[in-house]
Amino acid sequence: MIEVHNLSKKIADVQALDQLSFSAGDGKITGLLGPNGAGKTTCLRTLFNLLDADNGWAKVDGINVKENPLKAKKGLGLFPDPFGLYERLSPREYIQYFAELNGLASSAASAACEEVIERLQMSDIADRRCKGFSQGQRMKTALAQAIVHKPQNIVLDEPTRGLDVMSTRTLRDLLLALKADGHCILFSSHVMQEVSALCDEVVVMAAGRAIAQGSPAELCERTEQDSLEEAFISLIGSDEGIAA
Amino acid sequence: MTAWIKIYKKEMKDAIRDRRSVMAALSYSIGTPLIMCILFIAMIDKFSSPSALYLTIENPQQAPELMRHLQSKDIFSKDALPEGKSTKAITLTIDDGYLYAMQHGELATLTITADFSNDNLRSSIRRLQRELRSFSREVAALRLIARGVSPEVIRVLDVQAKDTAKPEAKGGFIIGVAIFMMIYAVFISGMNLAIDTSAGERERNSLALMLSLPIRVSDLVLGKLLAVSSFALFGLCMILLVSKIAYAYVPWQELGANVIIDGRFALYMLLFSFPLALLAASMQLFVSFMAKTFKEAQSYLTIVLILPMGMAMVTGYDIGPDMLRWLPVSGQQKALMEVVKGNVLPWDSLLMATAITLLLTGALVAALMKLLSSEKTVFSL
Amino acid sequence: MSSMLSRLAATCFVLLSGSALAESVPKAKLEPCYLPNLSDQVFCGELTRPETVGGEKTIAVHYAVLPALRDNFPGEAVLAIAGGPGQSAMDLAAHFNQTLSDVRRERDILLIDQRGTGRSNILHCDEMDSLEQLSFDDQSMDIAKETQRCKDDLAVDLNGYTSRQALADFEAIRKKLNYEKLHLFGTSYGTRMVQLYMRHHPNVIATASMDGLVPLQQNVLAVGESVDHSMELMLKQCELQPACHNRFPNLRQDFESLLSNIGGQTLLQGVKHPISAEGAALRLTKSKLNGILRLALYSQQARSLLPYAIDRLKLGDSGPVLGLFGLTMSGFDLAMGMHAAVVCAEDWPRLTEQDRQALKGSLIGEDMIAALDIACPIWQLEADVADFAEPLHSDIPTLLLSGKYDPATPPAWAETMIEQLSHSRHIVFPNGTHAVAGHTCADELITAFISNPKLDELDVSCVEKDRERGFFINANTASAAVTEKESADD
Repeated sequence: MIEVHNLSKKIADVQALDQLSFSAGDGKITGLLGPNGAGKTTCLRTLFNLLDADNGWAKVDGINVKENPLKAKKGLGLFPDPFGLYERLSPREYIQYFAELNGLASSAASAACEEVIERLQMSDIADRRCKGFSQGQRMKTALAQAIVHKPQNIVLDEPTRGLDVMSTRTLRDLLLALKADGHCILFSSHVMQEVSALCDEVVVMAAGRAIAQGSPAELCERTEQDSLEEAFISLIGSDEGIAA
Repeated sequence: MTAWIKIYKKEMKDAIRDRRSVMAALSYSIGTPLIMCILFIAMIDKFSSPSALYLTIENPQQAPELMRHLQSKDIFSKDALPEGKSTKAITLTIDDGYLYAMQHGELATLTITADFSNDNLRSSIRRLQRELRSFSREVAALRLIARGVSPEVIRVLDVQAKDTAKPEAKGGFIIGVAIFMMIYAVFISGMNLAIDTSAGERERNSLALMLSLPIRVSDLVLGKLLAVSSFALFGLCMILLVSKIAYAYVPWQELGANVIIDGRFALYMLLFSFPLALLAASMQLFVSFMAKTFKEAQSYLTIVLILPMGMAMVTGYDIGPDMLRWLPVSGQQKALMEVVKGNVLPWDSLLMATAITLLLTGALVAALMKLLSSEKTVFSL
Repeated sequence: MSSMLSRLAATCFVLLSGSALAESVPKAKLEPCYLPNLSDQVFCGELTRPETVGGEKTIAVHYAVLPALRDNFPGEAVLAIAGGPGQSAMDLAAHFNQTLSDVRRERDILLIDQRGTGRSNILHCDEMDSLEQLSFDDQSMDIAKETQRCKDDLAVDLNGYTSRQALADFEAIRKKLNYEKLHLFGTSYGTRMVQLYMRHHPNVIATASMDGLVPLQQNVLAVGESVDHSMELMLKQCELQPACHNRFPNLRQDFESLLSNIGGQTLLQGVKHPISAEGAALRLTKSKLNGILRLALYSQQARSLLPYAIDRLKLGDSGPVLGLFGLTMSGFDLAMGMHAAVVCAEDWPRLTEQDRQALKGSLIGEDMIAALDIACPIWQLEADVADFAEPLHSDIPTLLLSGKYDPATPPAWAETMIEQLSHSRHIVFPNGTHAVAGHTCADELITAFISNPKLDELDVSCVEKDRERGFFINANTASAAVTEKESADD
């Protein structure tokens, strides 16, 4: 469960977040949809306490991120963009490292690591160094890192960017499976297709504000449009910065 | 296990696999003593007078006794030059009136013609002058005896010298340079890792990811700091080891010096340099965290490293003000020079220098943590 | 990761363990000190030893270590032993440091003030004022009274100061300083100590170098014959050098007539003291003249003045002789008590009738024996001659050095040792006098020998550099042009 309330953040002269409020519930996939520069990344960074909001709060499973960052962050897994792999480590070492930094003891980390490698079917590459990996292999490694410690909430920043069809499917299947397990999944995207295909909830962002939140169907209904794409354009008044 | 240990372990594993970091640590530590060795050996060869000295002697028939004396001291005319030996460009001209003057107790004139500024000749010229003086003294003593006077009469002063330098202290300059090279290893060896783990981390986009984890910034800084310090100390160990082996081949005696790297010295070196390794690591991390890319960090550090280099160099050559012994780098170096010279350790200045080193390190670590908590730095806003 | 740490640790450990050896020499525990004419700081120590075997009284035997520039052989040292007997090795530190300077690059030099000399309870007798020496009539000196006075002043049992007891000190100091092996270097009487060391502790001796050898079986009192021999060589050398012969054609006759004409003594008024220039009278007795000429033969330089000095004296000019006398007033600082202990216990008792006959008519031998016959019984020393009946047999690598013109220990003495020393080599310097180290290439030979004791590999070509000196033909310069053909070198 991720809740964001009244979040404002000014970066330089730009009001990056403007009284942003939304919530992403457990057992749901929530998409943060908005054009480039809408404040999606700023919002996610604030969620991880990397940025300090001027106003409002963000809570992870009810824990205020700013007041108790370490505890709040334990409930989060991040699939970053870009991935930030360590090229000289193997996926197993990489995943194990993040598992341990997320608070797992050594042996538990190894077990969790093995489990996630199985789950993502990456045993063939698990012990090779990351240098020279394909985009799909990199994606799997980054994904494994994000979920190895089984966080209740998984945050993905532009997850499908640059992925091929197979990798996108793998990712999609995994997200659906995680949702089925009751995890809260929040991802930012500017790709309409992806959002409409996956999301139970969509938060439409523009100029730092949440313009609307609801299921794709609700949003269509509310804007009296047939497709999410049309609904979106009607909500923000333009299709600039959005990919179909 | 605490997070900083895990971070330290990962950083070390990562760094050891990084050929560039390892090479950076090793190349200086292995290369420098070897280069110094070659340099010193070349210097000795260039500056010392050959065992048999051949030079041009004009008019030798005027001075047979002097020729006998010079020959007994291995100084020969080039007429007797054996194959494979070379002549020094020094000419000793014996005045036409030499024999007459010698027989009558008058001043006998000799002229040495040579380029006195030539390093290759200097020691040979000095040797020739020394032997001429000793011949002159010998004849003078015998002339006095022949006149019924003891030569002791003209010695006048018996000046006894007591050199307070310990036998180990001979050649302080060379010792200073050798120690300076070793201390500098602390700054060089960890540098590549410092950049890789900071600016490199940022360049690889893993910095924000690291900061998103439920770990304290202090754990992150500590882990990285210790990894860089370990490399610095590893470089120091290597340079000590290589120096110990390589310096054994330098005939230091010829330079009147004695660079002994023994267990005691190595121990003091590691002990005194430990705080310096921390200081070097924190300084390098701080500077390179401010840079956005590897290249940028490299150029910043090159400039920043001039400071410790300058301090070590000024101390090594002993041209700095006395105040330097209270400061980091120069303070430890000064203390190590005293160790080598066998003198009493200057505990007051060493402790002060160490305290300042640790204080500076603390300040830099605090600044580093602040830096990493600042959104401006992390995202270069 | 852990391999990284262990590698790191290993690097440092090798360094520490590798150097642990060097720490075992307790040199650091010795006191830093200075020795005469040596500006270097060196290390000094002392060892308390019984004065006599089984006695209760103790004396402190002092020693000094001139540390190696680079201690490549921490278990070894070069023990340099002074002559006399009665010289202080530590007072000669500058000399040994010079001679052994290349040796010291790698090895410590150990100097011990032999008991009764220098700092080790010196047994010194009062000497007369140097002005008195000029007019002093040595021939009428009451040797018995002087000896008794010195004995009373010293008030020690001289029996504790013989060579064997000094040897025990040396060995105790070697053990204390943890040297496993010693390279010995002895000069003149010091070679007796070297031979005793080789005989009694052969296992701790790596090499021995002896300069001016006195074989154990050789009575040191035969020095009288050596002086005569050396004087004869000098006269012959002058005859063979054209410049000298032309200038002093009657040198031999002059020398002989001087000695016979001097008779009892000659008193020369109105001379000046060679050092203070105070007006004085010089009483020249036969024994005094002999003594002056004898000491001049010890040094190559002073020796080159002898023909001129004899010539001048014959003409009534005592200047050069006075100058040479000046040389004897300083620089021979023997501890006469210790000297007497050695000579009276080890040499005087083994004088045979044959020896005495041989020394009759010798320039100084007669006087010397006569004096000892009076002095030794007063000192009341027990004869300690057990070591001196048999020559030393040894296979320790040994380098023997002699000077052809040596007035004290002629090369013939060293030559007798070659048979008994299975690994030895005898080098004679064609123009050397007594003790060649310090002013010939003997220093180089000793250095090479100590670092590589294989004697057949020793390059002795530098000996040829020792060229013949000319004699002084006037008060200013030595004679020119000594060619190979005319040389006395045969």
